Amino acid sequence: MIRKAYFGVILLTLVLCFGQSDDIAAEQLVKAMDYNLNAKTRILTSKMVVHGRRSSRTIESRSWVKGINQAYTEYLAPPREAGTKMLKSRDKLWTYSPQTDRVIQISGHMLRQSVMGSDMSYNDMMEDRPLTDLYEATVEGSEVIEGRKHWILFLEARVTGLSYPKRRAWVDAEYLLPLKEELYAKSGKLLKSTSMDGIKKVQGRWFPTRFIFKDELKRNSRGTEWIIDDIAFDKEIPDSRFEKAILRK
Amino acid sequence: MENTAVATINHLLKQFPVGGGFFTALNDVTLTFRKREFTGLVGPSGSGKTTLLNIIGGLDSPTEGTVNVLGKALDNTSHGERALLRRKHMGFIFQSYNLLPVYTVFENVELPLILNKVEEKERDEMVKEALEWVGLSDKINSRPAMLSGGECQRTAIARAIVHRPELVLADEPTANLDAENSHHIMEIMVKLNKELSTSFIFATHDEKIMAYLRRIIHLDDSQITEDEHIENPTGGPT
Amino acid sequence: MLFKIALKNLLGARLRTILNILVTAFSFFLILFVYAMYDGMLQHAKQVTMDTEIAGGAYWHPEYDPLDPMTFEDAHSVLPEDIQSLVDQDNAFPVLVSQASIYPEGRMMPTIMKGIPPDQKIVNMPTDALAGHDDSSIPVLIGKGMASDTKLEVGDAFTIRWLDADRTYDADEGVVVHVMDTENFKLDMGHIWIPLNKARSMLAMKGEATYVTYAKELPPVQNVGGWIPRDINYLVQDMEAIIEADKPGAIIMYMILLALAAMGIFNAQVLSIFRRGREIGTLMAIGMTRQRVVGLFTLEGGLNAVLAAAATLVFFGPILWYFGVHGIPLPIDYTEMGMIMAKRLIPIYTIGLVVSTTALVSLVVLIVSYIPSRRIARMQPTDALRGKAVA
Repeated sequence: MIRKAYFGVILLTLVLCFGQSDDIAAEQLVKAMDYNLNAKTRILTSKMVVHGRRSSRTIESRSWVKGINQAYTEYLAPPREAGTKMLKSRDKLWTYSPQTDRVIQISGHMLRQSVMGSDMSYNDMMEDRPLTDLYEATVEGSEVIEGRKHWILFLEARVTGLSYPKRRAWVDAEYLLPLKEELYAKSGKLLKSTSMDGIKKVQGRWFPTRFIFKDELKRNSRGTEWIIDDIAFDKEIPDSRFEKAILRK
Repeated sequence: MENTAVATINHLLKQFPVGGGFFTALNDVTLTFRKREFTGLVGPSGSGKTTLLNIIGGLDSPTEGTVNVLGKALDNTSHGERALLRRKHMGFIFQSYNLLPVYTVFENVELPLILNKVEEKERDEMVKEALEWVGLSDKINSRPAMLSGGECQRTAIARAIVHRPELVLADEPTANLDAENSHHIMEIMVKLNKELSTSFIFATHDEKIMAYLRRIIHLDDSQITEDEHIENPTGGPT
Repeated sequence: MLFKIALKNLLGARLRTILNILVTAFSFFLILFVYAMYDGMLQHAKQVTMDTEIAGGAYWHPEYDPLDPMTFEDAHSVLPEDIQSLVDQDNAFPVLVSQASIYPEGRMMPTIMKGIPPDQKIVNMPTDALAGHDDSSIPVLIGKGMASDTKLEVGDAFTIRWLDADRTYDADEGVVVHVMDTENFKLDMGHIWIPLNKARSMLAMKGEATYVTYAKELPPVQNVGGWIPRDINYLVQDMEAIIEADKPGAIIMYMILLALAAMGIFNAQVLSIFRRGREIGTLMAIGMTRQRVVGLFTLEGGLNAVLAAAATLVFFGPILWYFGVHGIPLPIDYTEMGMIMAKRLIPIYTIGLVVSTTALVSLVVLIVSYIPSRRIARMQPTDALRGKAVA
């Protein structure tokens, strides 16, 4: 509670002091982004729309996320995916398929594979380590996009083992959310882009209701949409939610 | 003159199963055949002549009684021993000649010698001699299909005697021949009987043959009705 | 003696014998041909694999499993000393393997990226095409199958994305410098080949390798330092298994043919015995034992195999010879189906094959000749003489 209040004050200060100014501490900006996007716990209902070359698929799911290491997802629709469950605990991933009635552990390497054929990897979907822990941030300037001021933040990895060693984020000056982000390879080649919209206030923070991920190496890719229908932060989630036994319930 | 018995039969009974019961082909037949005999078993169809011939030849077994041929008790020997007896000491002549159609005259006559493991050179001489006896030296390489009935039967005779058997059994040898050939055949066999001292037993109801026989055993309804010896058979066409 | 009689009887049947012999000879020919073809396929596949890929054998990193791309991420390290000295003496060359994604014409395709020394001379691959290029892009060697799948030609550029040793994504442009025409699909399908030094620098794996291929007829290295030696027999066993797995289909086919031939002979034997009852009786009458008559008829039937063998030599021998020399051209490219098959299949005839096929056909023919002949043993000579077969 106190921590929440503390960040709330920081945010307010940032907006008041720097909202319209060009001068902002990169570190503060990243912290603000982390605050908005992360939480102790999250419970959300979402839809993933995978745009293929000829058609699109919509997959509905419900997820419980605790911190950065634990996540449990149940797939609700379409009928082919319904009943499939996934449990992530640290760097291990298990899936359960009702068709085979089997729980399979997928190795850590699999976390880099695409989720359901989308442009998102499991890592993209499940990893929520704070950016402040991972990247050095620099403010490159600002840009007005659709009438809104955005800070341009350049992030360079400060630890090894990160999939994307360089990132560039366009952070909305009011929402303090990276409404657009570009993810680069070591060589600087643009690999993926993300965008957010449908921003609304949830439990005192701005949160996007729609994410769009795109593999920039694929030509004519329409990317993958992740639409959050419902989200709640910092609710109590029992530990049993993240035990393997839940996969067969 | 030798009086050796080539075949002795005592109280022979031969029955065949028919339906639920038995047919008696030979009933209490007792006979002795001596060396160099020229004997005929004569009787109507079904009298048992062929059956008796087959039993003497070891091709069939008696139901009861003893049969002794060339010193062997046939009622007590295996198929193999009987086959050996036939191979070495007997010859057969059949009504339908029973020549092997894919063989030449030479090869048909040669067969008993091959079975007796005679050397090739000796075989050659014996076959040619046998064919000379029957007057078929010029038909050596002919196949049975190219021969007349008489020539086929002469080939069969040559086959039956080529290995100098003690006993020749002939079942209706002239049944499929005309008169002239029948006489010709019989004259050959009379000659062989004299020159080779081979005993001949015929099963026949052909009167042309009977004229040549020196002993006629009459069979009727499975039993011997008469056993006559003829000192000087007339032989030849009447 | 029986042989002469049997042969005479057999030849006397003329047309029936000719037909039976021809059918049996055809079975003979097909069995020989099909087996020789499989042998030829296997030998060719092994030869190609040895020439282009495995040479004398390989030493694998302990984590490496070529069938599980997930292992590639961890399957690399510097070479153990003894293996490194093989490389230094040019008796072996190292290969570094990694998963990668390529984007030809903007479409994503997962591939296996292999770094190989361009100057290696141990396997027959045009790796020298990778030498002498500037560092502005990544020179890439691909096979014809891969070129067809990706619609890439020499000179075409495409993006390659990979994960380096720090688990960080990197990407750069690759350029096709050569498209190789290889019969070995394992070098082609889903593979891109780049210079080893380039791969090491891209992946941040200096001096490392995933496996080492060594030249033929080298003695094994004593101290492999935990790496796993893989000899030729191990490395070709999956290919042998593929070819062996296909064999049952061929076996069924020629067993059907052999059964047809056997049925023909069986029928001929039954008919023969039925029609030649009088002859059988006559043979018994002139002193042949039943067993010998059985033997005679069995031999007659069995001689079909001997004559069929001769007929095979005479009529089908030239065909077998021709294919043995010139091979059979294949209409399609089997490398796309994941099979190492030559453009022309050359059957290989061995003494063992000929002997075993002859023995098999002879045995089958003897058996089907004997079975109907057995009834002769139960025949009464008097019935046979009357032309009555056994009921």
